[in-house]
Amino acid sequence: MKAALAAIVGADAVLDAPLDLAPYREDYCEADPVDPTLVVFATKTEEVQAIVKLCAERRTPITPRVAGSNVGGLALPAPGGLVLDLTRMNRIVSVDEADMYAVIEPGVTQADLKRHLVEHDIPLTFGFSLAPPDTSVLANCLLGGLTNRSLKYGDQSQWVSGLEVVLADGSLVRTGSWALSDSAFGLVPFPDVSGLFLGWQATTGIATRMAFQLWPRHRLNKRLFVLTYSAHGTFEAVRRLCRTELCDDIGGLSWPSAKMMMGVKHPFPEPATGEPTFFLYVDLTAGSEAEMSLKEGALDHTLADVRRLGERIEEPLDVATLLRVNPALGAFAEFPVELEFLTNHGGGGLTWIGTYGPLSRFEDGIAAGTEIMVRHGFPPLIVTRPMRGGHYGVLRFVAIFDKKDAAEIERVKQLNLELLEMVTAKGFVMYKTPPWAWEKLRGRIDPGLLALMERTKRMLDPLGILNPGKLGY
Amino acid sequence: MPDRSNASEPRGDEPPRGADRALVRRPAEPLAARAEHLVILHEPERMNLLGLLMRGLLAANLEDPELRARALRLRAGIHVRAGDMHVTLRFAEDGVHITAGAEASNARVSGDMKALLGVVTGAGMIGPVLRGRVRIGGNPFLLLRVLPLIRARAVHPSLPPAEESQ
Repeated sequence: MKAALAAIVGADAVLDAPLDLAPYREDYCEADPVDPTLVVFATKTEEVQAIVKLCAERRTPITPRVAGSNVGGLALPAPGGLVLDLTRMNRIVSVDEADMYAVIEPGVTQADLKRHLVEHDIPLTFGFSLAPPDTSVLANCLLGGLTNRSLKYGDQSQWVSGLEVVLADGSLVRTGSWALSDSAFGLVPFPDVSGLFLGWQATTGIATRMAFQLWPRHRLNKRLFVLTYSAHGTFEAVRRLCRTELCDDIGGLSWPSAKMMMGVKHPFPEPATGEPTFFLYVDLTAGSEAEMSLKEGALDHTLADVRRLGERIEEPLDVATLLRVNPALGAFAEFPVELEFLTNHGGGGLTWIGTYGPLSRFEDGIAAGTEIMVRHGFPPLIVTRPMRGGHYGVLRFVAIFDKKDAAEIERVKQLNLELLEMVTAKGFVMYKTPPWAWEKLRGRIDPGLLALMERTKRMLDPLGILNPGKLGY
Repeated sequence: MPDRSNASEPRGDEPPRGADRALVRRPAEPLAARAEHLVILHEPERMNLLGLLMRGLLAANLEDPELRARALRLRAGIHVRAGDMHVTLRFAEDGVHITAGAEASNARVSGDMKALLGVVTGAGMIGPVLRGRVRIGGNPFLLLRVLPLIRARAVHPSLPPAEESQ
């Protein structure tokens, strides 16, 4: 296999030494490590096609991977399988400024694309996840991840306007307007088959290029922090702010995040007396000072309305002010950002139960999730964000742990299991669903959907070589 | 409640029990390198947000030799209250101790979070006091001596221009 792969990509693009393979055997999360047999780097679509064809001939499982910063084991190989490292496919193929979309390869990171737009003075932007800057933009889109523009535009799979995908037999397909037009302006008007690849965790095809929508970069941008003292007050404010349609983002973080950012690695699981329990960071953009002033006024007005309900909410604080007081809060000054307190805390472990669900149930979910996390001895680190105009939102329970501590790994597994049960019972749906969670949910998912997925999978990957072990396949 | 250890807890020999110093102070260390260790956070894992913000401010300011000398000359307690959060700053021979809660103090300052942040970021004390957004008590001259020690000094270099920050 190694020689055959080397014939496609060159000998230096195939790794098999244990030391070279080690980084590919795990990600941040608690999933058991799996050793790949080989790692192969591709630099162009034709190479991916040839590699997949070879894997099909030899019945070798293949798992694509970019940054490896997943927290659900989604890019871990199947036993006996190889990893297709796509980091070298990192070309920003084009940016169509007039029609506001970019065509990128899988290895293009958040930092790469931002740098490109800034350096070329292109007045467009996209959204940034809270993942590190070296995270793949394409992967986050394929997995339906969220960004700081998801309030306006939804999860990132909704921004995709065209895909180029290598199928399990090595053939190539283009979706969206791209199938006919030289412009990848959208997924309309042909029957849209992009959904065969979005949310499928690379079990139906390997995307080698993606067209996705960019958005105007406004002249003025302000990030304001709003400190709140109850879940109800927090999300009453969030729901009302969504309906003003004035905010670009309303991110939410529970109290442990600020403490961890300021150097407290393991905050006591309950808040200190009198301190805020939630921090909202509200992004406003505007083309002029007058527009910004109007938006800030509307924000103040909305918060005042919620205060009149008896809720305690502080006045908005500019992130620049907070930064002057404590530079550690600089993590929220500019995206994308490496949140060191999550990814570089010594123990190395990061996991979460991340869900999408109805905003109307957030208080309930947070109360139940907080109780579970505290009972398991973890500070209730919670991330929230309304999405798609407030039609739904993300509710995520995050835990850091020591990957070298078997007992703590077991504790984290129990924590996640209980959180999954709770959120599912309340109507939330886990996104980027890890294999263990999929197995737990399988019995509750509509059988018609499962059967259709099964038929789809068999049609697109009859040999079952594409990222085995994910979504129950 | 589980008793979780904190990685920023004291290593064991010199600092007071329950206090946080990243490293034990050694005589040979240059003064600037010691500044951070002169701010001693008691029970960091239970410290409120106000205390953590104060630690950041003091640690940055005590890098300045003049301010550091001024802090080490003071012997006083200051009670700071933001909303319902209380901390007490105790200026002592070995540094500035930050404790959650209201302990015996020589002077007091209180207000809402935004008003207090305004004071430490340069809005001055007199205006907010006259407007009733900040209240002071105890020895006002002491507060005037402490104010430079808790005033934010400069914009952090990582702060990007607004248009680049999205």
